[in-house]
Amino acid sequence: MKKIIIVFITIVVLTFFLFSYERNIGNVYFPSFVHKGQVYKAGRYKVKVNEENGNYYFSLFKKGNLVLKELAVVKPVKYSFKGVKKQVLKGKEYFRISFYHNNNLVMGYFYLKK
Amino acid sequence: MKKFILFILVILLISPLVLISSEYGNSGLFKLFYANSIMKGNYQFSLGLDNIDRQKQDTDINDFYISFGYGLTDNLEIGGRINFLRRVDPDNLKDSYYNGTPYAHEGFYQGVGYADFGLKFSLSDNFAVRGFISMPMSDKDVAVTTTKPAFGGNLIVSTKKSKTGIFSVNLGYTFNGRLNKTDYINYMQKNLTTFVVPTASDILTDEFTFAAGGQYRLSNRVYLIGTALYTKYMNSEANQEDCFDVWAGFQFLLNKNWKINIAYKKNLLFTDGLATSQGGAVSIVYNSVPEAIKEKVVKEVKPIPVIKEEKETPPPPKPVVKPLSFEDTYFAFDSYELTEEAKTILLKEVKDLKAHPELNVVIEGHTCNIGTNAYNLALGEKRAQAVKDFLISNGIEPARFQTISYGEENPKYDNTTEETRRFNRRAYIKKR
Repeated sequence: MKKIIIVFITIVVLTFFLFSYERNIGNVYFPSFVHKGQVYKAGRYKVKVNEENGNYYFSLFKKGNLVLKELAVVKPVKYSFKGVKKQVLKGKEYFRISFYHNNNLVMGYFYLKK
Repeated sequence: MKKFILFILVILLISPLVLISSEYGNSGLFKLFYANSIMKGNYQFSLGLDNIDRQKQDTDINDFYISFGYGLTDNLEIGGRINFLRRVDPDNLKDSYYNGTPYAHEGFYQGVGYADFGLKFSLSDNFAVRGFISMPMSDKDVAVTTTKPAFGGNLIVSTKKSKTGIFSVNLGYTFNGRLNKTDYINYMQKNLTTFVVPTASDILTDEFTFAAGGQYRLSNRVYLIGTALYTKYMNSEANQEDCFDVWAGFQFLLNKNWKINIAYKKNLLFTDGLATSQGGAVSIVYNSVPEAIKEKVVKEVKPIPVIKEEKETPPPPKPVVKPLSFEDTYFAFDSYELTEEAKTILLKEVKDLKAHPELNVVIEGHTCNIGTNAYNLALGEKRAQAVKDFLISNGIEPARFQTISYGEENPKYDNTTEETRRFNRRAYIKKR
């Protein structure tokens, strides 16, 4: 039994090294925003973040359908925090989702409709 | 029975189809589960046959199943199945190992084995927990089971990468209430002409399972699929042989909804190493939102909102081609440090400036529109200054430069997406 558990843990650890990062942020309420010239209504979107070719992408889903993908802004930082921050930035220009991962601050900026 | 099959077929025909389904309805492959859940409101059906073709003088089994899955929320899915067990012995060995399994000629009704119902909750795209209950449904006279249910759970860890596939690892435990010694004796006395004294190995015990596997993308339409399932029987008195099943095969995407899995299955029993069996597994599955083609869906499904912005963002102006032109030097977000790539570009420009000693230039610093105007003006100035310092350190006279910061005021590209916004974080050398 112990051997099985050790094998299981080893495989789980290897899995995370071999495969790319993916994070489910959950359902997030967005104010109305603009993306690539298109206006998106305010509402709840399911948000996932995944890594592709070294870049992080925020994927927004509505009713199970992928609505858009937004390239994340990644900034190396020396601090860390748990959880996911969601905030409208000062000046109400952007809605930002951010979290800490691997010494980086991963941020999704969504340009608010004025 | 015919009506029931007809009903299932009609549902299959009118439903949009699924991509991933385990034998139990929850998303997965064969007896392996994936951490991803079916999205809210979407569903899947599958039909499958898992054949066990044992060596001669041992019972062969056909396990035909119908399964379904439905997304209650984006993170919670229900799944279930009904399976039909059929004994298909060409030599009709009446008292062979699996006495309880009805013969093929005894009819389909009698072969109904279990109804399983599972509830899977995805904690994230990588972790999920699943609970299930398995209800025996057989006619007692020919039953493979008693009326006692089994129940248990699974811990699921998996990763998914759209371009390569899915890999999953499961840990499971089943409290198996299907047979106990008394039930077994009663059953044998009632149903068999020759009473056989039960041995410990005839009694099902709790099971620990470990499964690993997944699917690997070979092309747009073909995946390599595989699953390994190790089952350990927890009651040491029962002396049941630990079991190791392996499935390997291919998954074909017939169109954007339908898929078919075809696999070869090998069953290895660890303990004696002699009683092996082999067979095949075939399933046809459909999903209302195929996972693997979501990338395509991005292009096909138009965004939900329909409001057109009155003031459209103008397309980025094309840079004017000049006889002696300089390239933009790009910076990371909120940074004025020169990257190696930027230094390479600037070294070329050093050559141009040395070749044209009469040329005086203005270095422009630009930013994206994240942050305040004042902050961005200062950041733009720092970027211009960083370029100036680099050029001076490479032998260009300081008197030839002037720096100016535009901050976020002069964007070259669309600022509403990071795909283009990042190119606004730049410095540009312009002839004075």
